[in-house]
Amino acid sequence: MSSEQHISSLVVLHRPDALRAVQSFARAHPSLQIAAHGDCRCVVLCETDDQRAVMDLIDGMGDLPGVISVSLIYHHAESPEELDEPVGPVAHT
Amino acid sequence: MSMTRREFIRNTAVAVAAKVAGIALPASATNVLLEGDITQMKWSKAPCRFCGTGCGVNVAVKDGRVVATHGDVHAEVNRGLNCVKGYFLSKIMYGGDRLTQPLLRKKNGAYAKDGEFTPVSWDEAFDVMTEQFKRVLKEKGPGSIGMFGSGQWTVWEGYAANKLFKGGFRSNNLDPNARHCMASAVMGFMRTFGMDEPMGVYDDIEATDAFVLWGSNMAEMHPILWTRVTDHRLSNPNVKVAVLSTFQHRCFDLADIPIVFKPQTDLVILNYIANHIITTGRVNKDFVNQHTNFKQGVTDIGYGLRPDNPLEQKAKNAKDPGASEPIDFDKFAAFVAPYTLEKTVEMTGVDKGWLEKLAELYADPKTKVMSFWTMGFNQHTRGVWANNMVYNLHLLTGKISTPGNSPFSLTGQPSACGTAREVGTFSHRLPADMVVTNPEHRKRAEEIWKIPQGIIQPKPGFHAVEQNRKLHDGVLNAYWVQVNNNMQAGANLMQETYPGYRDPRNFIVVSDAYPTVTAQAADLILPAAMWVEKEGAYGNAERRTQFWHQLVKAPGDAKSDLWQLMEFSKRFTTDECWPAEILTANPQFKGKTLFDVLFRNGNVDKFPTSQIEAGYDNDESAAFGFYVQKGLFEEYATFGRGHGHDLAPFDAYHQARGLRWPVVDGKETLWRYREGSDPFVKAGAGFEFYGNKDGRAVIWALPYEPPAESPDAEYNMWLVTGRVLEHWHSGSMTMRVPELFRSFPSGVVFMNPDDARSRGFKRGDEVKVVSRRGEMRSRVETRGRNSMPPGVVFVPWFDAGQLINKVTLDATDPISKQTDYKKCAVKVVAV
Amino acid sequence: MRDKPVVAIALLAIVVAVAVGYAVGRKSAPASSAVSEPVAAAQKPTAPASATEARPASNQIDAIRRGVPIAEEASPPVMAHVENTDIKRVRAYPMQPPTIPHSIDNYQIDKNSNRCLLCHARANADRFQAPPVSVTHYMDRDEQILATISPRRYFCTQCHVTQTDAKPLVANNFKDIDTVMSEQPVQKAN
Repeated sequence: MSSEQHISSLVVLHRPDALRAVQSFARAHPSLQIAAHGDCRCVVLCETDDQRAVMDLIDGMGDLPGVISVSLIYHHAESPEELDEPVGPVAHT
Repeated sequence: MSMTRREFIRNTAVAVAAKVAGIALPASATNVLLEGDITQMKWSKAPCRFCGTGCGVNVAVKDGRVVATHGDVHAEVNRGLNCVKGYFLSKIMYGGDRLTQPLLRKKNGAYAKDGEFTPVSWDEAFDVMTEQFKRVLKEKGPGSIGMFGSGQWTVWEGYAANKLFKGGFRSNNLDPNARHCMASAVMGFMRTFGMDEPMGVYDDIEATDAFVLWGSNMAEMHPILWTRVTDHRLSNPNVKVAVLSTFQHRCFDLADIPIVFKPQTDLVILNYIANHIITTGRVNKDFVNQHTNFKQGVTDIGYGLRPDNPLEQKAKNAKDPGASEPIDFDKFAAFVAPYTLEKTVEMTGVDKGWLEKLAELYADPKTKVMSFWTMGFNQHTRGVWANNMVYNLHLLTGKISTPGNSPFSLTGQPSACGTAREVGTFSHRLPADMVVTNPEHRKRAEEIWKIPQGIIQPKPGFHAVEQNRKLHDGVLNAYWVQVNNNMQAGANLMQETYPGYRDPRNFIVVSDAYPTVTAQAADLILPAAMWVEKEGAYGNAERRTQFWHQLVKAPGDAKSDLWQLMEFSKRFTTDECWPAEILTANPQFKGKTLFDVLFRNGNVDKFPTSQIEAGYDNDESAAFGFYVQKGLFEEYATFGRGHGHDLAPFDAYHQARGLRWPVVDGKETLWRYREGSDPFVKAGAGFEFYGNKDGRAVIWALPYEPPAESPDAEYNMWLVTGRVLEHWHSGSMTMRVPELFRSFPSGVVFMNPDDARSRGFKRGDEVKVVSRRGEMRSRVETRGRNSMPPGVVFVPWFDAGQLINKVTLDATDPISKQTDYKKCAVKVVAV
Repeated sequence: MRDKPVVAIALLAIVVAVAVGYAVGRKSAPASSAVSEPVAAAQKPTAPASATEARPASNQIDAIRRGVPIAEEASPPVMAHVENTDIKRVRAYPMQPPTIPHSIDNYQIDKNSNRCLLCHARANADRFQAPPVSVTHYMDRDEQILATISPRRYFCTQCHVTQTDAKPLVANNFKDIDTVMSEQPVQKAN
């Protein structure tokens, strides 16, 4: 449903020389952010308002040269209003 | 400072993925995403608390509380999935009525059998308990004390109990509730292979061509294994699923071959298939000649009822039900020859075409077959036979110990294998498949335990059902129940279980996390720590041993079963428990406490607390001053290493997502008994069933025999009991999770709509289920997940508010002593 | 085994009924974020009175027996009704499978047909205004992404269950991460 934000994290397994390709792909898609990377793996955070876009981005990254696999690790959907609510001590003051 | 839910969820997403990828989050990433330690949750691994599948979960802890759980993507068993119960694990420890202090029945300030539950200190609780146990030991000896344990004990808890009772108190009256669920499987393994537990692994699911479910509702009872079966079936249209049961349940939704048979006639189908394999010339002769023997078992073996029951008196071989004589292939062929297709159709009520299709799955040499069974086979007055007979089919065709060819006995409890069976907490067993009746085995156990020769008694103790009978008869007088709910689980509650617990001659102690009906019937209740409130180890159905760390503290004064057992042992000396002549011959043991001789023996206290992994509590080790779990595990592992039960070093299990024994040179074993896969099979042997001295498995000639009780004109329906997906066992955990409770809040009587109509009932009507032994009130359910054939009702037993075991019959398999909860005669009447 | 034409007709009837139900329900249903709070409050069971009532005077400690001694029998509670409001419930933590907020009586979910996916599959979800299944459900056991729902996730009811109106007999004191954090002493830094 379009009223929901989808937050997911992906682990991308790639050849060492493909990190740049993943990085530039992430730069080209504002909904993606590389949160951490190792030599041949990186953690990509993805936030969109369209569930199908998640799948498209996964497929897109999977097609990059040097990318071995893209695994979806975490997926959560919630309405934007709820996502903007504060958590922690402030929530109950 | 504030943080939004968005930021929090983004942080969680990254943290989980980083953990999976094995990437440490760089400072730059944490700066961007993490807002200080406010959001830091600590994730650790643990196996699920419920069934024997052994799924891995990740548990999130924040400020000393479990705040979330999810399926562990690294766990080979479940690869990130959980069933609905598993997803709610985080709530099982937080029921509002957790027991947090010992409760003793008291009147006028002192213990009284008819007193009211009163909170007491651990000191007072143990004082009274010690006094009672010592009184019984002195007046009647070790044969009158006993303990009922569980396949939910951790490995070291069961091991400590085994030592305390068999090596300390000299009582073999120790049995686990696994007797109710696994004993027939164990005896089946022992009689066919000479060694317990499956030869195959869950990996067989992805390798097979056909699944046959013999009395197993995996869709509800082993949901994650069912996801693997479903995955394989739906991904491979050629794969076939056969489901056999006495009523239609959720597994039938995936069935290609659906079979509903008349209760007890599974035995007929098994022999029919053997006959079909032989008459169609599909016996794997090479395999049979090289790797098997044939035996014929005695018949007319009774029903495990009390010896004075007419059925037992009438039975010719009730005294030695396991006896047998060797036969050959031709005799076996002649034995199964009468089980023709026509006769099978007639006796089972099953359509001819389905039977033939089923038989062909086994007979066709090109089809790899995986057979699954659970309580439909095991809770059966001929359960051991049924186990032996399904192995017959795999052995006749050589479909065993290779990927996808796998007779697979499933387990219902998280450590039925790991604790009850491997540790040997049964009344006749010792660790690593050894038995108390064998002098060599006793000697070896005494050596490892460093106790004098002659301490372990040679006679098996009282098994589960017998314990209830002996409590009832005033023979067993001091009794300790840990981590199970036998008042709800034991059959024939009103005539056998309840009177014994409330008999003034008996003192009953129950250790539990929640006030169950068993606790209700006790004299002393000890509050127990559960699951990740202690360091633990479980062994699942595919021989996988899995560890977890203590992640949170138990509430109030609740203590783990391990602490309870070890602390209690300090209150007894060898002089009070061991014969004078043994102490005279071994004076170094004189005046010692049982704690000293059993747990400060140089093995158990070998490892310092400094070896506990940093960042984790360990309350038992803190209390006793050494790494208790490691010492117990390493001593226990000595029993099996080098004998085909090899366990890895302790620390390896805290790293791995479980390892399947035998673990040899750091390598787990997937398929046992086959050369190249099992390091214990000699080169050139091909296959070797080394549990038996001659290396051969046994094909058993066993007949159909009728059940202990069948419907008649008055009690005109079959009663089948069992579980539902949303609740586990007696529901003491799941009924306290609101989502699970609300999904299935109380027991019902699943009934055929025509049966209901002819009795004038409609859905939701209150009825009584009545047997010769008792009655229970419930409500009629004619819809929902089960479709009952005429004449059969199904009542789940999870609801303490509806104790269906008031109605069931305490008939057991005479060989395994396991109760048949699937067959007795009842009538269903209006209230 | 099953009477196919009859099932097909029944299925069609259900589809129509459900579709109409959705359409009607949508009109009056308030925006989901507006109702999320009262639902959450109802879900966090604040110690139901029965838990304490079932305890004591009589020394009956197992609340699940509703105060009835072991050897006695009482009238069982009337059959609870499945909640059929279509209002999404709040989850205790992100990876909890959502409970089903509508009745699933007579839903056929077998190897030939999956009534749940009729509305919840990604391809159909917009049309039926049903929440589409999570994209995690499109991964196989080896974490490869599939075009259709993973067969390992096929039987929905293994994880997703309906909720009845039965009142819990025992309170549950589980606290979600938000609550635990809100109870922390106010942070040191910042």
